[in-house]
Amino acid sequence: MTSFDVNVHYVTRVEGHGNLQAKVRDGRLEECRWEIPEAPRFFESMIRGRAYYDAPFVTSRICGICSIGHTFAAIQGIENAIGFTPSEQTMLLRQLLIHGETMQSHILHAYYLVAPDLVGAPSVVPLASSHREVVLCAIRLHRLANEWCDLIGGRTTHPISPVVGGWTHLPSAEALKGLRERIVSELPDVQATVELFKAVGVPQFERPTEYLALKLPHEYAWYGGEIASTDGGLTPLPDYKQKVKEFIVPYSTAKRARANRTSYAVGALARVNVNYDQLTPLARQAAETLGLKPICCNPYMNTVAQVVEVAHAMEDALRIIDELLARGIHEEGYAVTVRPGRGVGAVEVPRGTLYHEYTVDEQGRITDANFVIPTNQNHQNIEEDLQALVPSLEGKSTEEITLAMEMLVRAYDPCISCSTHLLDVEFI
Amino acid sequence: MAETQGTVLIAGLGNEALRDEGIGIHVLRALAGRPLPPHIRLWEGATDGLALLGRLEGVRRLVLVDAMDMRRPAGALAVTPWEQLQRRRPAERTSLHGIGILDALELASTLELLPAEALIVGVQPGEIAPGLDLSPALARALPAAVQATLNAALAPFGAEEKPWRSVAGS
Repeated sequence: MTSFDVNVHYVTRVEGHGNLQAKVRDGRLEECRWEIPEAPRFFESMIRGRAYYDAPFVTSRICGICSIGHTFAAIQGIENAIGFTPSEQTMLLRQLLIHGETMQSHILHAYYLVAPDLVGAPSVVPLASSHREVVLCAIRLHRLANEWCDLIGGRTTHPISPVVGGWTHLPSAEALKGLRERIVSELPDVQATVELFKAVGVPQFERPTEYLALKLPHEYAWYGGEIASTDGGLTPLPDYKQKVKEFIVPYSTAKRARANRTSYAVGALARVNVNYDQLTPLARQAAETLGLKPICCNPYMNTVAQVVEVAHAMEDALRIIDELLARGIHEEGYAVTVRPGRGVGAVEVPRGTLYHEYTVDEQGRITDANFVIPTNQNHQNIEEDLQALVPSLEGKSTEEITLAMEMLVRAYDPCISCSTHLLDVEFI
Repeated sequence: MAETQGTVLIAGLGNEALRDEGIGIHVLRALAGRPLPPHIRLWEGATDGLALLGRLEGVRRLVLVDAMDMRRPAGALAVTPWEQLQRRRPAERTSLHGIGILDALELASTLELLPAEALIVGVQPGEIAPGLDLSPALARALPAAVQATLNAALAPFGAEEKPWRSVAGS
């Protein structure tokens, strides 16, 4: 390997900016950085002094993709702080809406952002010419996901129906039956998605990694639970700071995190690694078809894990809808009694475990807040992956190395993911 | 003779939290308060270009309403067929929301999902800055923008003379 530099500025389109830098001298990797230069946003300060019920609506705006996840992390954190236990119906509907968001986000990432790389197209637009059926399949699944979130959450993004205490609006039994039919009608597209990703495959690269995800005793965890590590051990949610140790590096404005090792990963691959046994039968079958077995330490497989989770979300949604229909939908209101306290909420959002922590006073005012975002937990792991990846590419051209690095970043689906096909690559 | 059958989708685009950038949303909400013929559908597309792709089935004419920088006085209107804008599209472009509307239309075209007639009602913005209200110039232009959108939506299908042909470039 000769000497070269990789400088990719703004690996970005959506939720921020990321830069890739690598410096190789005489075949030796001297420097490899994953930099986030974006400005801090101060949401934790913004929420202080506001009423407890504002938390889901304000924090939902942290992200346009994970808005439902932020909504529920906020609701859960506040409910834990004020000592409120939601009803079973409320919990079923929350899980159903989380599945809708997982669908929205995973379909977008797997098809529009990653699939072009895997078939050698520069973006989704030429992909539409060469693989029309693939893109039509993505459009159908994406549309279903949007309708799903509209129906349950009252809006495609930034939902308005879920609130602290319950729901302001409930879907009718008829509407739920309609959604059920739509999901069933799209199951063949899920199968086609599995076949597509089986056919295209992903690059081979492995680095021993610690994975963190929420864990529940009897189901694949999305909402609450304990923090499980593939290195072993369970951490109760209120003690999350003992497990998730945040730190900063001087060249990046985004926080990073470590647990047992120098870095860890969260997201679809982490969840499948931690909760494989609790996947639905359809998802399990998809994982087998796609060759995804725990513990998989190939970060490129995160997209494959997302495809597995699409199957899981669809099948589990059918179970939830059947349960809701069997119980009957009942108006329950959303009244709560406020008591002061501290509470932690955690939700598995598309990119990984999202933590919200609140302290609420006796008037119901938020006096303190802390949020730990999935992409921040992944930054250090992305960088360490890149440091291991670059030397393994010896003999490749600088273009190939740059593409492999970009694809690795994209595989994590960082909240900057929409960026990755509009790059200014500068070789020195 | 012009045909009369078919669905028209009016899509209001833009970010309403950036004042005049949200003109498309304002037009759509004004239309939502009016009695409209059943073949006209309204959709608040906001900034989700990709979601448009899932809304085009069975649509014969697509009318997009959006802020458009034409380097003309604030409130100026132009109704332009998509093909004309497509030719003038800059080669390098980006959108904060993954895929811009012209990319979404190109994708729809490639996938053969684009309706036979697709046009954009563009309104020259005055102030693009955080805020929920329109600038005075655009507040004044709103009724004309609503009317232009309605005219475009109600024009007969397949007619030789489209109302927007005469408006374009005016």
